[in-house]
Amino acid sequence: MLKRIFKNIFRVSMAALLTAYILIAGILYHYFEIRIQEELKSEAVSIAVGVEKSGAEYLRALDGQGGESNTSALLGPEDKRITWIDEKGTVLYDSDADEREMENHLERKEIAEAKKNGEGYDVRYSKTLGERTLYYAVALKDGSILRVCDDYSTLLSIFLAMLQPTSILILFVVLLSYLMSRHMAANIVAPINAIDLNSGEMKEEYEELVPLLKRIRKQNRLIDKQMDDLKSQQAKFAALTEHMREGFLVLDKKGDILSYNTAAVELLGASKDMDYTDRNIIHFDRNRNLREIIGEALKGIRCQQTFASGERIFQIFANPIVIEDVVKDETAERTAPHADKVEEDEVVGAVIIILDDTEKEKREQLRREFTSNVSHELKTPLTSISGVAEIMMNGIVKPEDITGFARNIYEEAGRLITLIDDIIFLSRLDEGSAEKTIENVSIKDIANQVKERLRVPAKEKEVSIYIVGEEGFVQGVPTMLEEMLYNLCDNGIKYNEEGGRVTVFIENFYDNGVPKVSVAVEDTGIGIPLKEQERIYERFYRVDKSHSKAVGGTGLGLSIVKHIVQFHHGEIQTESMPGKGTTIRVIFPVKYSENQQTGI
Amino acid sequence: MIMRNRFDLQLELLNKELIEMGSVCEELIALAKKALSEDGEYLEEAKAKETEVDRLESDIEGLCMKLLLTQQPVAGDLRAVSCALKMISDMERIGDQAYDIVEITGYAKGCDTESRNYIAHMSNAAGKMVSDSVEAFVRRDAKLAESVIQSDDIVDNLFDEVKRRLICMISESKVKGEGYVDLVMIAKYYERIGDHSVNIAEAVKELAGQ
Repeated sequence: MLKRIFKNIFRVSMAALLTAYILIAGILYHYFEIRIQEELKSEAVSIAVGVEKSGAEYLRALDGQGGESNTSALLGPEDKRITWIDEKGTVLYDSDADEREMENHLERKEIAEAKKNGEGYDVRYSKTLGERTLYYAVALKDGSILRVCDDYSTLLSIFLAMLQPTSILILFVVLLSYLMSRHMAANIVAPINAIDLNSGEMKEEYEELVPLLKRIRKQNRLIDKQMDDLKSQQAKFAALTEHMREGFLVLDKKGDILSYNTAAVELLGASKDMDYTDRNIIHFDRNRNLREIIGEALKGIRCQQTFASGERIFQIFANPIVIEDVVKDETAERTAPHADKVEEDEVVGAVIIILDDTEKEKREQLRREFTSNVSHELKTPLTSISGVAEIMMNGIVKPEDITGFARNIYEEAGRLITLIDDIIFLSRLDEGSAEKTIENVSIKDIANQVKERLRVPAKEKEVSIYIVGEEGFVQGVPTMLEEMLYNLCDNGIKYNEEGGRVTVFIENFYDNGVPKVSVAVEDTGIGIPLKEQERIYERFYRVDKSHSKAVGGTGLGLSIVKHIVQFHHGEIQTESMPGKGTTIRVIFPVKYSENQQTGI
Repeated sequence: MIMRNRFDLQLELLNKELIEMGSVCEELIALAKKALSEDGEYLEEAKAKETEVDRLESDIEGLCMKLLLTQQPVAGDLRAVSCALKMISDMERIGDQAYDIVEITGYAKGCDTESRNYIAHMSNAAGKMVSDSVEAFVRRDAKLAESVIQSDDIVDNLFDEVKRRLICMISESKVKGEGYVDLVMIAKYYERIGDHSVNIAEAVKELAGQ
């Protein structure tokens, strides 16, 4: 703008300068012409007086001295040419040429005019000299005519003559107008530059700019509002995605990342310090499956895949983002009935959701194991029952052996009943529908009862049971506590060496001011390998995978123990050394409370 | 979004293809590990991946040449292109050697568990080096690259140990030599893979040091 204003001002002043120059030159030229005419006239008149007095002699005398006088820079260096012509047109005298050779001059315009009016002018261009010649003729009293003529410079030569002084002047004017127009332009533009675009205010307002400024102010407000909206939306979106446990990625159609959340970074193990925005997905994770599924999504196919990356298992959902063309939609629906597939060029990106399925897969694994274990446990006794029954049915059993076979069936059936009892007990605990009469129970009494119940199996294995410690009163359900202690001691006997020991320690103590009772069942048995220790409380889990009948048991014992302890808000600790023995310690709070939260 | 010119787009493409090539190398290494520890036929899969590595190498080389000739990059950009050229030859070697490992795993499976454990260690260490060097490239992480260079010693030491152990076993003629020669070869391949990863890491360091 500054440039434009400057250019225009400068152009105007240049045009003014040029016009002024041409005008002045024209006026000067005209003035000179008149001056020359007057000069010629006065000279002619003075010569005429001389000629009238003394005729050609005067002229010749004039010619002799003419070389030294009467010259002027403007009127050319030569002398004025003087011609005397008689009334018939014959040249009587000419200062420059030989009069005898000259033609009749009567036809010349100035002569003819002089003859008629007493004086005459003419201007002729002399082709040979490229100059103008001005003629002035005056009629004498005797009818002859005296003509004075002179060359003088053309307009061009006047310009040229004026060039030096005027060019200095012009230069000066140009410089001045340059500086001034610059200053003026800057002056005009300065307030416009000073407009505060943020507020739309102007110090000295140009009237012409007022609507513009108003518009700017209005749009500023609009933009501010939109920015605020956008920011709050973005914040909402960020809050939403950041608090998702699922990884979330938005890609454009080239597979560059537009947006992603922290969960995605954590799940796929990308760097937290890097900004992946606008980078290709390959920077984020190099897994081929991921790339392939994204490729499919960007082709417009909705897909889902589960794959393992390292130790983790991911489930990935990739959905194409489609900008729906309203006009195209109707026809597209008719031609492409497959709704899941859309035209490739309509896909503008993809949304990827990543779920960590590691836990779920693990649980799935556990469930599969559980099912196979439980069916195995149920099937084993049934198989032997049906086998024995088949033998008996076929009648190949001697009558005296029938008792033995019947006992076999009875024992196996008993095993099955125990197992099913355990399962029912467990499911009751699960449902929370088990008996819930809370009483003050002495652990020591219960331990003694258990010792009594286990007398026979202990004797068989030659394992001795000791009960050591205090009374240990606890608020709880006596049947449950007995079941728990029975299971623990039973295990202690079953997994013991011949001649081993099972010791029950009972102890009162305070944990952070809360009175608690600790019951530890220690055996000198085969122990549990360290990596199995966390799994022994799972239902049907057996350290010995062969499900051998030699040891017996249902695989539910410790699971029941765990549930009972949980019911009483206690905790369980396992210490075991393979080959040395196992100590399982159960800690109960003395007071039973309904809502206490404890973890195991 | 900032407007990106053609050159930047091409550089980005180069970047992407390099990472892709790195990831195929990682896959090949993982495949070699699988072939060593599990039964099954992996040769065909490995061949396909090895071909992919070769294809990517020639693609990237072509791209680099095009960039060099048409764009005449200077300073950092030139360095990016020259580092890319260095890295692809290393990656190609890694791919080849991983493929070679898959090829000769058959005999090696007959060896004793302890020797094979050493190889498993080597395969883990070398695999991690490759993975880390590619990751360092992705993140332009000079520190990670430095750690790759440091961990080369682990692979080298493991190689020496395997070699010594196998020499002992063969000289005492406790075992059939056949499988053990292959085992030494595999160890050597892993050692080479480690060296190539170090080369990549050095290139990354040069890049990141801009």
